[in-house]
Amino acid sequence: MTAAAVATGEHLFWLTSRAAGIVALLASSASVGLGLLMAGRMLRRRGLDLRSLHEALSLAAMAAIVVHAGALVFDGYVNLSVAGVTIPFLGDYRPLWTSLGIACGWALIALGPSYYWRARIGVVRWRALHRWTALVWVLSIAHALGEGTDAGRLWFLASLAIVVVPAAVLLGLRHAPPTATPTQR
Amino acid sequence: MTPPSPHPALAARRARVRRLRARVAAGAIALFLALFAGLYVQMATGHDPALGAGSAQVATTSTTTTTDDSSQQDATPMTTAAS
Repeated sequence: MTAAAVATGEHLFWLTSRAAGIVALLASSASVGLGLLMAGRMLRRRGLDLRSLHEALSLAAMAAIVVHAGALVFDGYVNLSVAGVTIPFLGDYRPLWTSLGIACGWALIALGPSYYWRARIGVVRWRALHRWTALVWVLSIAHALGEGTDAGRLWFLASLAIVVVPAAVLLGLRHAPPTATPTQR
Repeated sequence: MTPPSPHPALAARRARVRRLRARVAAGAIALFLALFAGLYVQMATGHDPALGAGSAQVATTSTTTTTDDSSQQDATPMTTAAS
């Protein structure tokens, strides 16, 4: 077991990145789901608590994204530089999926904190901007399923489904065309 | 001159938000540690999806040489290594 521990020790940063990536995905999915519930006025709890929870989950997701990307710089397995984890199409490791992940990471980090500047940019403009986070979230799921080392694992798919499926249903409901109400005779 | 203390309702609201943030942060860290431990065990036991069955054998790379004269031509070192 000691020898195995030494071998595994070489991959500590890679394990850190994988674990942080999963945390980011789960936290962002929960945040998107909660945001959609709030937007659809489907929850009757105190608005402040829900908004604070939505905000805290988003901040946790952003912190996890930073750890997810930062740990890869120190890992010898995928061998990525700082530029490789921050600029799309610079790294050699699965360039398409990695670049999608980098773009999603930057987009989330840019769109998320826009909440704090909404008074300056205008609430209407901020709302229009904030809606793009849902698309970024969908693309980040594609990044996880396309590139994730654990993407084929049942535990990963099951834990992802618990938070992703409800949020995806809510997103579908939000963007579904309004059904015509039957006219009464 | 000390700044005026905030309204009790506002102070309670701020405290509630702080508690909520602390809980989410603690939950995220706990989840991270649990996932890290799980992935570590998975790798240490040789069940990592990327490294496969060889992940636990990386450090236990063995070289076996046969001393039997009759099989000298087959006495190539056997090395087990991860992909």
